[in-house]
Amino acid sequence: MMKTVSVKDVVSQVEGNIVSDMDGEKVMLSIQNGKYYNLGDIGGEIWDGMKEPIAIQQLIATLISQYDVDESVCEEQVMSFINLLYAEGLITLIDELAS
Amino acid sequence: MKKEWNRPILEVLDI
Repeated sequence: MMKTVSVKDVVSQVEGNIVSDMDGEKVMLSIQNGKYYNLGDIGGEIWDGMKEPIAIQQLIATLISQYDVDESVCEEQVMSFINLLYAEGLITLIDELAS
Repeated sequence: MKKEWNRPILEVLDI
């Protein structure tokens, strides 16, 4: 059974995706599974933030500083999005920080 | 000025 990603995890993009910006939205072709994805505008920003390994907590903190959104709402929605990326095999978990 | 937030999506395109 696949693990659920938590805010304490460190994540990074999986290599081998072709990414393009289309009218402000990010569209991606996964070479691994042959699927096309639309990440939207904010999804694209989150994706860009994961080029290098990053703690999800840090990613959320950056988004909160840039966007007009409550921390709890941002965390819930970003975690849902990141778990979808993980389920599709588009990101990998680097580490899990000690609690 | 903070930007407007929208729920991030992951849409699988059927091509």
